[in-house]
Amino acid sequence: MLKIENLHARIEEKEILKGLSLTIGEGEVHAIMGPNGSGKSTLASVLAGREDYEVTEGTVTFNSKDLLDMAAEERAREGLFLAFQYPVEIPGVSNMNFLKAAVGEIRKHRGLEALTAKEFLQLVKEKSQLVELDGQLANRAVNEGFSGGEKKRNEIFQMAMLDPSLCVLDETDSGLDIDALRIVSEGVNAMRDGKRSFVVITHYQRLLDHIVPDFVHVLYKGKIVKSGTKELALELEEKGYDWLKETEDAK
Amino acid sequence: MSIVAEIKPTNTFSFKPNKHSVADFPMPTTRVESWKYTRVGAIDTTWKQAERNANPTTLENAIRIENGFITLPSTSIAGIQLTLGKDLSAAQQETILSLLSKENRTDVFDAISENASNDLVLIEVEKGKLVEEVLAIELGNSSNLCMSAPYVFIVSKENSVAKITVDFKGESEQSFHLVNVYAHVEAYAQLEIHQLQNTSKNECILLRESISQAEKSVFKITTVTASGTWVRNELNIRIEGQHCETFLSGAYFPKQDQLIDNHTFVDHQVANCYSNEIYKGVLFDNGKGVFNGKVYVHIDAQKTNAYQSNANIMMSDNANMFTKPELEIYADDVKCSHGSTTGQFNEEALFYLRARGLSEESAKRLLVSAFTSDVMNRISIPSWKEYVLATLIQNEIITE
Repeated sequence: MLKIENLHARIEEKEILKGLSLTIGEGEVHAIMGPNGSGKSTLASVLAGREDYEVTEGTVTFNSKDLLDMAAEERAREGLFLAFQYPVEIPGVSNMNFLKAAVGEIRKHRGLEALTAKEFLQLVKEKSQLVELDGQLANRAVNEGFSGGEKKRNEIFQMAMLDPSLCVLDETDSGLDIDALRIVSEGVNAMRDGKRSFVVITHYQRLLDHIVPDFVHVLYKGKIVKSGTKELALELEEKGYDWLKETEDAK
Repeated sequence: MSIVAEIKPTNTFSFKPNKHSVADFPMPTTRVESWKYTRVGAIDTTWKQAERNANPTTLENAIRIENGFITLPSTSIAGIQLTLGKDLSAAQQETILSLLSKENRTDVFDAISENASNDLVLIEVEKGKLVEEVLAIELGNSSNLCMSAPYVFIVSKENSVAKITVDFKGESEQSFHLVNVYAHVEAYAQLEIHQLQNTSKNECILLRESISQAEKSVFKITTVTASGTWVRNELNIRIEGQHCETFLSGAYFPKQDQLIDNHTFVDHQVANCYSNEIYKGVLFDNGKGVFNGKVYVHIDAQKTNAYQSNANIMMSDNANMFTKPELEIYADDVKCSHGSTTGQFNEEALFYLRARGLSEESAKRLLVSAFTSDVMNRISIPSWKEYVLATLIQNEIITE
């Protein structure tokens, strides 16, 4: 599904990713944890194709295609979805019109027929229930005036609408209260179908109580320094990142 | 310098005493404040005074102004009386003179218009009539290199309601529209004017609109300039009666080397009135935009509530926008606000849309359409709004 090899990336002159390698198979859920500034969000941005970041070395293969060679929109059409840590408010663009355009582009790319207005509305209804998103929100401008929780639910709603094969969740738990966290997690879990893969980036273990990962990786100073199963997350929760930092810095 | 090679005086205003002489007025230069960013030199070519087309187009439902000459629609609209210059009664001539006398400005273009005017039409909305049908006006020049100078006079009589659309079609290869519109909205009346300018083929426009409002009247106007080589819209609104509402809005999209200039003036002469102004620009290539929004609140115009906003997005490093809000407030109990912004696209929003599969081009067009949506939403005629949006889609400015 996704194979990252020796990835180096920088923003302006600052190198953030320093040789990151990771392989994600079909249907797997990988959690990426790490202290602040370790490069978690940079990884999400590089995968999604944000142009501020420059990849200086390494390769990323997505469904046996060169991901780094694609523009952001091509990656989305190929089935990669990034749920933003900070979803952008876009006044004046209605959620519905925007989604209609996005779904249209993605279906076209996949060689599927365009949805009729009725089919589209049916899909909206079905998927918005998944994250308990009020029908009113779907009609408003993209994220405008949404609470933090509504923004994140909107991300998962969009994810469900676009039916990606790889979902990258960038600190989707940040800013969520307990209820929103439950709703968002249930939305994600409902999309786990054994084929779709997930990369869940988070600072805290809490989210992983709800979205149980197959693998947990710790990112530190731009590299994966430790990998394990979900128990690793619990260990990190208990001990914090300091013991890992110390071991790594001692090397 | 003279705009027109030779003016052969016409008799459109034969009933007007003391016509101005073109020779008495200089051409405005960029040293004149109101013409600082708009060079008249650009339109100072050898235009020929327009002549009547031998076979002018008659439209079924619209006033057709061709080469400055006016042809009334073949069907009439109940509640609206249309009168051509040659058919004016003495009372109607008086009405026109009184409308003209309200405008304080007199400059070379007024003198040229007055002397070279091809034709005029008087539109009277009957007292107390709610006119549901929209009165359409279509302007086109069918001869190249001509200057057309029509006048449109509108009187919305007491307690009437009417909507008018004005469509600059852009039919000639190169020509100059010098158009004057004078309107008076009587007490309790409501008038809306919705305009589209899409003169891509080197047509230039100087549109001068002079509006006055009596008490408790409502006046709304939208002006969308989808394209235009050299366009200057001057909109002067005098609020003469209390408890009036005024909404003025515009959107402009200069591309290539086009110039689009909007000069607006809202003159709050009396108390208790509300005005709301939104102009938005998206500037491409070497496009140039000018916005000058003057709001004048007289000393007696207490409780005035005036709002003005002008926002612009630069799509190119070579585009230029000159914007100037100009508020002069002499009353001490008013609420007046203005805002002006000029900037680039929100890169984050662009990336967000692309990360959902939209191409850069369609993401940009979606953002442009969102940016100008508050202006478009003021177009209260659904079919006209659709037409304006279709024009913008065709000009590759917004997406479907």
